[in-house]
Amino acid sequence: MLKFMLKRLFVAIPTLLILITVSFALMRAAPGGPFTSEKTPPPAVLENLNAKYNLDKHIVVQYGIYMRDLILYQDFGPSFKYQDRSVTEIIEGSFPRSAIIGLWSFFFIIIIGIPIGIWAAVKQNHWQDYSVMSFAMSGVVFPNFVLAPLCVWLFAVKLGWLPAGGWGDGQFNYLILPIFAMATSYIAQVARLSRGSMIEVLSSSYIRTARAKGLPTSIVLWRHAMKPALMPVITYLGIAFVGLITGSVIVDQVFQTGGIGQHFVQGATNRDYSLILGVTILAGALSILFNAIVDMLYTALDPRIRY
Amino acid sequence: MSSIKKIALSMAVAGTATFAISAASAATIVIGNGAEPASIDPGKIEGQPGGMVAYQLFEGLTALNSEGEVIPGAAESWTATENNTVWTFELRDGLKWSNGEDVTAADFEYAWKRVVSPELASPYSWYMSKAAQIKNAQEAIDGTVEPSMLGVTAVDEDTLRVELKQSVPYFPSVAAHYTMYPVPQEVIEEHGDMWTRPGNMVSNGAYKLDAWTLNEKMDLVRNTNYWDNANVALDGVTFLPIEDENSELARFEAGEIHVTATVPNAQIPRLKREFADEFTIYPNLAVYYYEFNTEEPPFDDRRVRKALSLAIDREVIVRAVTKGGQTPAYTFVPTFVAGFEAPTVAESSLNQIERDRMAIELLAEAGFGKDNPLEVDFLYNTSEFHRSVAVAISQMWKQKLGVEMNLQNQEWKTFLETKKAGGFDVARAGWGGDYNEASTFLDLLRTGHGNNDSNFSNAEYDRLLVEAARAENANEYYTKAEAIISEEAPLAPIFYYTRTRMISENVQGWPVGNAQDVVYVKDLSLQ
Repeated sequence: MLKFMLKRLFVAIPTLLILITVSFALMRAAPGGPFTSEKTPPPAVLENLNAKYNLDKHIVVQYGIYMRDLILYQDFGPSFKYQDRSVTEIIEGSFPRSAIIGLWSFFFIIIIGIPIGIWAAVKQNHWQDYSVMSFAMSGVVFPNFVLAPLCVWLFAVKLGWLPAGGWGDGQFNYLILPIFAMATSYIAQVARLSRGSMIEVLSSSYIRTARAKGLPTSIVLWRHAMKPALMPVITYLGIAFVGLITGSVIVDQVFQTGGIGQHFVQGATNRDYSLILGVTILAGALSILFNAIVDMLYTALDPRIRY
Repeated sequence: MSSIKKIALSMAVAGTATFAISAASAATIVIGNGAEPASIDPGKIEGQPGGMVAYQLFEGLTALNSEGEVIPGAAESWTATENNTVWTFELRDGLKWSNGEDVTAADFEYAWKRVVSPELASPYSWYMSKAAQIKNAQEAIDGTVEPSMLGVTAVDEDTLRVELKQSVPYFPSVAAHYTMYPVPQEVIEEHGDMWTRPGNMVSNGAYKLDAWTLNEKMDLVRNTNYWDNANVALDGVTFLPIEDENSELARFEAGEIHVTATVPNAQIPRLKREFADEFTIYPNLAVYYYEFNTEEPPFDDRRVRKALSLAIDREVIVRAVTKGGQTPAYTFVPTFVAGFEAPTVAESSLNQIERDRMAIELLAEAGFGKDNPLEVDFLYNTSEFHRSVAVAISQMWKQKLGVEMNLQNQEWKTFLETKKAGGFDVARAGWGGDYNEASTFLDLLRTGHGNNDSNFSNAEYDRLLVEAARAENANEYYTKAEAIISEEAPLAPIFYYTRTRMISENVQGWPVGNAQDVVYVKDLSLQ
């Protein structure tokens, strides 16, 4: 296992380096720059700005400076858009908020998505199955950019039960709608996956053997079917988890929770080179980490898998 | 690992945040600010969201009243000598920073010299040279002289002397801009870029910074050291940087916001019906126009440009397409700009049928018509609003002139770059005035101006602007310059923007007469 982890770490470093280099190049290839605006500053001012942010240097030199600061000082550099702030500071402020909404969403995805999926599988082709599947389908066809404003309109504007937006110092009533908007489509996905996977497992021969031996359904389900049925769900959840805790631009825009999700889009729109690299590195590192965790979970669930 | 650790730590801290309900003070106004300001350092601010915050935190030499006219600010009086090239401002007695220190003329001197220093790289430093015309401003920005050579001197504690490169009769109006606000030297030297953070920031306006969470909200509270604090009604302001117009409107309808930054265009008919008292429209010092690439045949022919401009039925655009109370524009400078007298131009004096006839004739002279259709590559930045205007105009051009228009939209910064590089025949554009005077618009079409994307160049026009700067009464030159714009049609003005806001009924004193949208919360109250 230790060897496996070391191997993973060994692969992670070049992966991240490639990610940073490609993102750096792609960002610079986009037309315009951080100081392109409708009211273009005069050339002298633009020169001063470029000099201040090293943009007057050759792109390879800029890349070198960026990598040096990143590796030696763990410094993501100053934001180009929010001129008085560093990228580290922006991430520190926004990531915890998205992570809190993401963790809550993850919690609800697991305690709702998996049980209803399995329930539907056990009651395949009964009304339970049909209702879970209709919910799952609507969760997939109702994306969160439709769901989120609808929720605000209903629960905040019409009914006045919940706040329409803001972080509210993290009080739970401010988080309910963002979590709902974030989790619904994932719950639907997880329910579909668990159902499909469970149906497949339940029709396999070793389950038939277990049933033939006269084991009660609950034992068959819990002891023999559950672990293998969860394998594809866990693969999906590993990737989904990173997406959840790094926020969503929709949730950030509709609810103004101050999360990190919006920076993935706005960083690109504003050509905030350092911010977009910062959030990319964060998301990349988390993806690598959670993929490794998922691989380790496999060994716990399936004794045939060994590293 | 330090930053990663810090992130993990801050996550843990945020995770334990208390769920207590904070009691909102009744005397705090909540205002939607449209976007998160890139900076709230007066020397670095560009644009409305930052300006809106600075208007509350700081006070310049002069200010604007609810009609947009100049009134005393930190200065109680001023005089001009030598043909408006030397200005002397007298500060009020007893001005204090929010930390209790005195505000002196030297604070203004420091702030202005800071703005032009290449080291600060202020995106609005051009304001000191182009708008305010302060002596040596351009040279300091270019790095050819030291910023200390800027033509501003604190003669004594209360007297500021400003030397200009050329006559600027409207200098007091220019001096109301946030770029010219004073900043506290000691605080900036102590904290560097971090001086704009809560706890560090010191300001001289009616409010001071209390809390600021990026992309969520900013809280300002009463500055008890402000000289006119006794007449300030509200204890605080909260700015919400909501970019999504629909979300902002929802929060207004849920009663969480007193004033919105704007409203979604598609909702205007409903808002007019359901919120007749809250839905507010007022003029904005900005023009929406189409610019022609004057170097690209056949658009180098003024007849082609003029024909296209004439054939736009502006009344239909504002009535049926934009619907936000905009006014049709026939001149580039908004007609309500202080002192500006619009010339009588063909576009405004004829009716649309006559304009159309003229347009057909002009285009025929240039060799185009329904048999030989003109092809136009039209460029705009991606937006439903711009698209609907373009579709309407392409219909007008097609029906009246047989023009084939290809609509191409691009993402904002790509669009700006393409336009700079001349990759268009006709492009959508907008321009907002930085001060209430015609030159803030007309300057744009000067030969070689950085935003003159139509590459228009007219010697007579350039001469008129130079004359205007020297003249006692500049407006007659502006009228002539505007007549050249109409004649040569480097651009087609379409409408003057309006501000559309939802303003809660209990907000009193919102300055709807100020087209620059300069709002001082100290003058507002909540009933």
